[in-house]
Amino acid sequence: MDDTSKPHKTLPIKEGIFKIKDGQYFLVGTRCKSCRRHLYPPVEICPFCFVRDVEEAYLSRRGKLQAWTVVWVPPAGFEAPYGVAYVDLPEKVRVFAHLADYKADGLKPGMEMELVIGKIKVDREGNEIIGPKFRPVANGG
Amino acid sequence: MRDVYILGVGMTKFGKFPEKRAVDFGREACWDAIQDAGVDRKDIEAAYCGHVYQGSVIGQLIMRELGLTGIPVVNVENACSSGSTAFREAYIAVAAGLYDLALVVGVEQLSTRVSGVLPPKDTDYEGTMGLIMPSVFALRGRLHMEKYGTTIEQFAKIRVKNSIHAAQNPRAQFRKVVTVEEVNGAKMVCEPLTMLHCCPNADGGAAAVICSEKVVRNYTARKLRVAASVLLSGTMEQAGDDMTVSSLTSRAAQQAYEKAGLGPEDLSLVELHDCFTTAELMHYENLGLCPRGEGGRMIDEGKTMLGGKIPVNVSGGLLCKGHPLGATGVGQIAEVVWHLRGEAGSRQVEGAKAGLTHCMGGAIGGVDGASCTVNIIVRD
Repeated sequence: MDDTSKPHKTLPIKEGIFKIKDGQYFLVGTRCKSCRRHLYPPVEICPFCFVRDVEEAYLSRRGKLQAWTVVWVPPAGFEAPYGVAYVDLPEKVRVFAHLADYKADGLKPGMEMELVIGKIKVDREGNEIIGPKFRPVANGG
Repeated sequence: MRDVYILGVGMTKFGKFPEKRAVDFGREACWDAIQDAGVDRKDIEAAYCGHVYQGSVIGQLIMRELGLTGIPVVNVENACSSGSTAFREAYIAVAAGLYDLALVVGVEQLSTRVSGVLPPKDTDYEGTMGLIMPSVFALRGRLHMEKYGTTIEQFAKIRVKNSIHAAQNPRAQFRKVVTVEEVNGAKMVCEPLTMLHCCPNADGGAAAVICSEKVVRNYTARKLRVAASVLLSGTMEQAGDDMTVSSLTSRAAQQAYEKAGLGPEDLSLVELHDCFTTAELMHYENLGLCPRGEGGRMIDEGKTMLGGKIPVNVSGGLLCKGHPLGATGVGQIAEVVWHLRGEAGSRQVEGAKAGLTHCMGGAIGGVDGASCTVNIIVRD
C-alpha cells in the first residue's frame, strides 16, 4: 500500500479541538482551574491569570449567533461560497466557525445555533479537512 | 523625552506596477523625502523600514541604493501597521535622544506576490478556518446594520466620497469617481461587501525624515511636531463583547489624544485605515469623531467630505489611493504633512493645524486585532 494513489483522508482542521462523546461531537477547549474561564481553541497557559493549571473541557453544543457573512472570493483550498460566523457559547467563549449552510435564511443575531462537524476545505494533498460548523436549531429542537 | 519633528516626506504613486521592485519604491520615496527635508544624507543616523512580504533586510537593500550604508537599519513587520510602526520606532529613538536625524520608509510590492484576497494566516486557528480580512469587516459591518440601522448605501457612500477625494490626488491608484450603484453592483466578495467596498492590493513606497528639537531650527522655520505616536496590540475578545466596537482603535486613539493634549474636535483632518467601507464608518465612532451608532449620519451629512466638519481620507484613503501594506502608514503621514504645510493642491484642507493618522493590522483569533497605530501631527 505504499503507492502514490492512496485514497485521500479525512483530517481534523486542528488535532484535539473536537471529540465524540456519547455519539455526539463536542468542541473541546480549556478550563482554567484558577479563574474558571473557558477558552477555545485549547491553550497551555491561561491568558487571563497566567497559570498552567488548566484542564480539558467539553463545551456546550449550542450557542448564540453573533455575526456572520458569506465569502464569495475564497482563499486557496476553500470552495466558495461558504458562510462564516461567530457563535457565543454559554461558557462565555466566542467560537469562529463555518455556517453549515451558507444559504441559511432568516439568520438573526442572538439566534440559537448548534454544532455540526463537516468539511471546511481541501488541503494541498487533496485530503478533506473537517471542522466546526453551526446551524440554526430546528424549531422545537 | 524630546519633541520630534517631521522635516520631509516622499511618496511614490500607489498602484499595480509588476515591473518594479520594492527597492525601487523605497529608493524613490526616500530620495524625495531627503530632498524635501533639505538634509545632508550623511547626517542621517539611522533608518527604519516597514514592510510585510518583502523578505529579509529589505531596508538595507534600499539604503544601499542611497549610499546610506554603515548606519543602524531596522526592519519592521506589523501587518498593515508596519509602516506606522517603523515611524514610531524612529520617533522613540529620536525622542529618547539616541539620534537627531532619522529616516523612515515603508514599502510593498504586492501585485507580483498576491492576486485576490490576502492569504489568511495558516499559523492561527481562525486563519486556517478561512477568516480572510474582508470577512472580518463584512460581519462586523453587517452587525452595525442590525444594531444601528446603518445601510449598505451608507457604506457605499464612503467609497464614493473617497473616490471624489482620490480624483484630486495624482498619486492615487483609482482616480475615477464612482456612484453608489456602481459600488453595490460590483462583484460580491463577502456579503454585503462587493469588490468596491474593499481596498485594492497595491504597490508603492513612502518615506519621512524626522528630527529632534535640537536640530529642527537648522533646517526649517515651519515646525511640524509629532504630538503623539501610539502603538497597541489587541486584547482578548470574549463572548458578549460588542463586535461593532474596535476597542483596540478606541484605546489607541484615547492614548494619543491624552498624549497630544487635544481631542477629536481639534483635528483638521484624519487619515484612517479604511481597508473596507465598513471599517471607515465604524472607525468614525472608534476615533471619537461621532458618538456610537452615528457613523451613518456622518457620511449622510457630508461631515467627512473635503469641506466638511472633519474631512476623512482626503488622499482617497486605502480604498482609492491604494493599500501597499508597509507603505500605507507612512503615506498617511505624508498626506497630513502636505496639508499642514498647505501643499495639498486642489484637495487642500484649508488652514489645517492638526492631523491624525490611524492604521489597524492583522486578524488573529480571540483578540480584536493584532496591531494599531495612531499618530497626531500638529503645526506649532
